[in-house]
Amino acid sequence: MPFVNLESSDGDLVKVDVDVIKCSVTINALIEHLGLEDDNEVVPLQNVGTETLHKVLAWAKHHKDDLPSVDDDEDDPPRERRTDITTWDANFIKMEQIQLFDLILAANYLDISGLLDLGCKIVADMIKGKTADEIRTMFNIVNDLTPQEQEQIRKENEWCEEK
Amino acid sequence: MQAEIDQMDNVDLVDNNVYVLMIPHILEQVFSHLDLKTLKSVRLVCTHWADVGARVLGKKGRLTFSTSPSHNGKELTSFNHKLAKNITLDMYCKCWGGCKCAELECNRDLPPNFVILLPEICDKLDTVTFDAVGTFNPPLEEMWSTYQFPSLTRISIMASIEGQVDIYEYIKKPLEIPQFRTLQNLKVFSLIIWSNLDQYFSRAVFSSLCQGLLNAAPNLEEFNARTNFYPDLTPCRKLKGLKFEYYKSHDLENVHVEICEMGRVLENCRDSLEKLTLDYDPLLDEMPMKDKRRRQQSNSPEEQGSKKRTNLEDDLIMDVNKIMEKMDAQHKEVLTNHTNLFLDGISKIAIISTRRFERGFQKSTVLSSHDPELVRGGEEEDYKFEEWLRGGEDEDLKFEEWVRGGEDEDLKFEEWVRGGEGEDLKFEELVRGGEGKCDINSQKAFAAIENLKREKSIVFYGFPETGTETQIAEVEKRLQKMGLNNPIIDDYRRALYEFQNKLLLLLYYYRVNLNFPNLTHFCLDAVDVWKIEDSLNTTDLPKLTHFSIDSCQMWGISKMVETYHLRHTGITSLEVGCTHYAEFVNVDGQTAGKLVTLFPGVKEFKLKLGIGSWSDWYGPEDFLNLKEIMRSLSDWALTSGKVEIRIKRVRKDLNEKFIIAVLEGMTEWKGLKNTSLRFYGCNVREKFRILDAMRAAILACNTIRNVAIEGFPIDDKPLEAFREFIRENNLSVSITNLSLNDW
Repeated sequence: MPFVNLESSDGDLVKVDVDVIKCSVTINALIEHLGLEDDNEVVPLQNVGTETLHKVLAWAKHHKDDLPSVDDDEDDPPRERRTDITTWDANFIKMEQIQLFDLILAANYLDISGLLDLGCKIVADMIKGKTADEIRTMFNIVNDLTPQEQEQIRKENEWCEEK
Repeated sequence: MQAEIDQMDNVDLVDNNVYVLMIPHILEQVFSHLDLKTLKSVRLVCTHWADVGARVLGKKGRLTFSTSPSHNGKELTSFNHKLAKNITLDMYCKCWGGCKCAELECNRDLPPNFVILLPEICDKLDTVTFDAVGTFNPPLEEMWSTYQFPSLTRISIMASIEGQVDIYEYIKKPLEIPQFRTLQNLKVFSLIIWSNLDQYFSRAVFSSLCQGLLNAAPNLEEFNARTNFYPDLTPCRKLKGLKFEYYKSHDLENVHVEICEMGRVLENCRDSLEKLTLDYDPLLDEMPMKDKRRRQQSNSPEEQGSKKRTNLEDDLIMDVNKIMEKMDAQHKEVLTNHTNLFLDGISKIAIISTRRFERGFQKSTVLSSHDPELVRGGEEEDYKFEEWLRGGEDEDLKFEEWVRGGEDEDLKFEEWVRGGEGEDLKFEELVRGGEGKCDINSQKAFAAIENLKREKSIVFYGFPETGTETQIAEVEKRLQKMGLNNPIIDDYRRALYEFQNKLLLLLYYYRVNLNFPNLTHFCLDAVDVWKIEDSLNTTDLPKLTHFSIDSCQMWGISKMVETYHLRHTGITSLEVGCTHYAEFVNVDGQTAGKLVTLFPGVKEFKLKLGIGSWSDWYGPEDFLNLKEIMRSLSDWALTSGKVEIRIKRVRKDLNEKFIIAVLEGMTEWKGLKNTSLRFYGCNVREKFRILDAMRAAILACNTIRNVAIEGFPIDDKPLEAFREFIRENNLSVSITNLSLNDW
């Protein structure tokens, strides 16, 4: 079965080479679970819109031949993550903030670790060097910490140094 | 995951921003890319971020607990358990004086706040680092035997012990290995000791703790040790990486690397080891006062020291011959003779000869020398050998008195031999090899004396660090002349000779026997100490791909591979640190190419070459020699080459010629386009000139990936002209001016 039809949350069908989408743990599991045997079978993806799905597939196609990444221990996320972003990835990820978060959600749902990590790196780059106020403004986050709690956190932080 | 997906259905996707940044594992992944400062900021954004941020901050940062009251101002109320992953314990006083830390014994107890929190955080700790001065065994042993550390992956102990520590407290204690609770997850253990303790003291203070931790770590993968004792790695069946640096204590001249002991250490991790580093620290910078004084007397300290080192082996052979001749003449009347020859990294020879007359070990002769001049009773006041032998002026060293078992209570020789009252020096115990009172070699020698009922002569003879094939052959020749043939040689290359029922000789061939089926990386940082020679072959090291060599002394390339004869075709990455001083009979020009012959498969090559000149004279042939060294390395088809040339202490106008010689030697390198070349001037004061020959040499190497010239003072005008030349020819060359003000 070289191809599979993916149905986006908008109801659109996208035919894709199984080899391209093998990076998605979720889709692999669905194919296996649903027992799809011919090219006309449909895999429903209720949480991924058409536009985002095309983006995901573009990324997956480009990284089709990448070596699989070593599985990280869930209890011990990698401390030394690769910080380099390739030129292709850097161009690919240039998009509006809302699209970026849609893409991160899709990568999370489809369980594509490489794409999720790329999105997280970009968000981290947006945060780097900013104060708490600036971060809240940028992402529209409500501050639910009391002044006393903030003071406590400051004290805790003070104790922590570079390794 | 499913719970999060279910949540997703209920979220208003219009505000995806907030939603995405509230999913804990995504947030944790974002935070994992942040620096410590930003992580502290994100914890102040909202409650959820504060919580997730604490987990990441705990993993990326560390908390320090100090024993010093003046540096232990952190209140426990500001402690967050989630941040307690990586802990550093400063167990020493950081004050500048005027404090009461000494009374509180900062170096003896664990930090009080840490002790309070330990029961609550011991199961969360990931790494623990001890930074200690002085002894810290008691609290540490209690800590490991009382608490469970199921998450602990790394222990690092850095300790220095200074003179104020009451060592004798430890000498009295028997060396018992403590039983610790199992450290199931411990993967990395590092024990770095900075101390001037001799082998026995160091063993007494640290080895039981070290061994206790090793015994408790069945899954240990990496062990880094800077010690002068030899741990037992039998419990560490999964050890993949071992870095062992032997440090030499200058308090005890006879202490040296015991290759046989090291062989046993390595034997226990033979199948699992993948990366191995063997290093040696002779503490040259902290050499004993007598060496310092001798150097100060010289007009050119460095020159004097270097020449001594260079001629070391010739001196050794000469001395060996002298000894053997003496033995030849003397052994008929000498009933028992124990000679122990040691040689360390500089030029130190200590000979101990013990004679036996009618009443057991009645007379002993101790010869201690650093060089022939010293033996003759040369200039060095403190060590006038002849005077010392005569029991001369120096009260402390009255030899005759010592032999007679005279007034000095501690050194009653008779008592020592009889295994008398002096607990520390019981001869019997020494013979049995009890409690590490003497090294294994000496134990053998003493045991042999005992077995022979003290009726035969003993010569105990060893080549600890520089026993090359040539030297061994030389000694064997001498032994054959004395009628000593067909020795019994054991696994550790100890040879046992017998002669006329009177002379027994133990000849030690000090070499590391390497046979590691899974070793891929091997770093030999002291090639002059750790002899491996023919062990570097594809049978003993079939998976070896990365090999690195350097020496403690200023050895050239050919000297470093002098004793290697077997090719290793599997090595693809080679790193060499060496020097080129033309004054020292340098044959590297003719023989450096041996590297290419020995390791033909090299694709990645890193060369760190130190160049210099001790004298004022440096002839054209010396530059040709340097050029030839570089040329002889041209046959590797390198995918990555890195050459660093450090030029130091040279007289005027040599710097430029060195650079030209190196460049000319590299023009034919097959891997030139993948090679980076860096010249670095160390302590250069002379103005650097851009010669036409240098321009020509650079043009001849124009395919090189890049050339950097740094550390040389250049006038602005020639510098700008040279930069213009670089631009015109589109060369990948950079040159940095060194202002003399920066020097």
